[in-house]
Amino acid sequence: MLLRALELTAFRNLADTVLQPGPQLNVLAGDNAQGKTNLLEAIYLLGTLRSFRASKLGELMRWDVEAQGGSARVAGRVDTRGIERKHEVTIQAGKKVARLDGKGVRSPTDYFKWLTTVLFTPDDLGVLRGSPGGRRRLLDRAVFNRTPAYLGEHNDYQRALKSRNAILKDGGPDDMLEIWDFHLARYGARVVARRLAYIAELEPRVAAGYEAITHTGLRARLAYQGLEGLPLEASEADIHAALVAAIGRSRGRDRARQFSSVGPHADDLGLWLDDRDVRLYASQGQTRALALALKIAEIRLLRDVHGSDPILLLDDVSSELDPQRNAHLFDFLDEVACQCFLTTTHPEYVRARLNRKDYRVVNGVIEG
Amino acid sequence: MGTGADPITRLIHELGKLPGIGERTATRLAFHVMRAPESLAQGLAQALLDVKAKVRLCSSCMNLTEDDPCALCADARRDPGLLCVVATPADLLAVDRGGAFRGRYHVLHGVLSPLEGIGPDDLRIGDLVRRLRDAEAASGGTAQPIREVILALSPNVEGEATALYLARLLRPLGPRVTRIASGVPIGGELEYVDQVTIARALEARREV
Ligand SMILES: Nc1ncnc2c1ncn2[C@@H]1O[C@H](COP(=O)(O)OP(=O)(O)OP(=O)(O)O)[C@@H](O)[C@H]1O
Ligand SMILES: [Mg+2]
Ligand SMILES: [Zn+2]
Repeated sequence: MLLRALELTAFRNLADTVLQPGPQLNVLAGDNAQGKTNLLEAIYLLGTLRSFRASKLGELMRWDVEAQGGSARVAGRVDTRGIERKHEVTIQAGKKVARLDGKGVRSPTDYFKWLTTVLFTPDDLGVLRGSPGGRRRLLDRAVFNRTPAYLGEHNDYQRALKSRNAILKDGGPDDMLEIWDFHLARYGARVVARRLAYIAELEPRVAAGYEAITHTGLRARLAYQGLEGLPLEASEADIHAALVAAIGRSRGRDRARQFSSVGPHADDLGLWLDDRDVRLYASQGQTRALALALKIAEIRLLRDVHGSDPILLLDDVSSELDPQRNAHLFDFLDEVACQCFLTTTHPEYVRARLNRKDYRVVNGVIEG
Repeated sequence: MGTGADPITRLIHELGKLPGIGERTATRLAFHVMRAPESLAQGLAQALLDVKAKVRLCSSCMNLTEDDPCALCADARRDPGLLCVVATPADLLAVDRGGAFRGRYHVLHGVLSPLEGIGPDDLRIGDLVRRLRDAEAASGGTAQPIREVILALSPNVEGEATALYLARLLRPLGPRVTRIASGVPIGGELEYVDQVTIARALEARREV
């Protein structure tokens, strides 16, 4: 995939502009608080219809425009295997409208399949040793990139979960709770099945990637940690049956706590180097190498299954990686040669490469 | 806003209470009514009043109607042994437009939604149970019992939960309870067809 043109209107602190990015490495250099990450956020919004850091859509609109009740817009021409599509997101009055080739989007999956973005930020480096919630988000984002339909399935699960929690909070009758137990298990099984299938696809690529970065012979392993004893190749029906049983057993406790304790919202992505749990024992260097291996594995997987490369958004990661890991990252970027947007305060750290386009971001103005 | 406000502001305010109409649209509509001939305002006002004065619920199927029983319930050519349950009158129209269904309907006026505080007592579920019991009691004479209840509810989270609740409630009363098929989107994009989707499509297969 190639972003051939990007048009920004009233987005964050960025001056209205039209960019023609290069086909490979685009380096966005500038001092702190100039708008570098904002530009990545705009591209991410175009691809996912979400922000990776704003909690409200209104935050994305330039302050002066928001005060006047105006609208913000990000539009891009995306070339996917020779087919060009125009993606467009408009934000107005706290709502977003997505258009593909000028037409309203009926099925979000239609929109997403033409543009996939993979984001890598310093936060991802901390996620592996952080709380389970961060790892779930990391996993969910990756599953969504692999299979856009997952977004709807995940939303359905969230709705079933909130509904069941509402019944628990109201002390609703048993026959109602049973209905939502069943549904929680049903939508939960879909989510778990997607996550399991994804982990099975990803794991060998992560192991290969980790070894290529570190040359230590330690084997990186991933596992889904949810229901006890659920095999990686469990079918959706198996998962459903196991969830029904587990949710049934948790009912008394859930009634007391007024909250659902069992389901994919409480699961975790387990990570090991040989037999050592990364979440507990990995060193900082090991954690970073593994985070990098996970991202590289995700990109390789997307290339293998979609037949086209995603667009990479690297936010300031070079400054967080040591020279050896950095060298590996740039070798990888050279090898995959996909389009990449990279922010940095120190462009001199970014090893010179052919096919590189440099921008300077100064107080919201992007100078080519 | 009291009746003291000027008429155009009041009209904008009243129109803005309708679903899907924001202040801008309400303002546009109000000025349109202002400029249009008197007859438009009169026709609109009368139609609005008539809807409230003349339209009520059919005592059998709970659809909106001027006559009780409604035309659908009164149509003797429709199979009374076949009952299609829908969430709203709009859904009823959508199902009936196809012309493929020749039975009777029952309108729930909503779906179960814990998030919006809507439980079974807020829907026309009691009426549905009564209808099945009455048909059963009257059968043997000229009437016939309801053989099959088809649940035509949207395949979203609340629709599915309502369908499951109704199936459990109605099956013990005798009828076969079925659910309209919801298409599994396989689509032509082969690269997106993964194991999970294929497994799910196979599970949902039907005879053709
Ligand atoms: N809605 C908005 N309207 C105007 N300015 C905004 C808006 N949201 C954020 N900003 C400003 O944008 C700037 C932050 O931009 P950004 O996060 O892209 O910085 P950066 O160049 O990535 O900096 P760093 O190197 O520190 O990460 C801040 O000065 C912030 O005040
Ligand atoms: Mg930044
Ligand atoms: Zn009727």
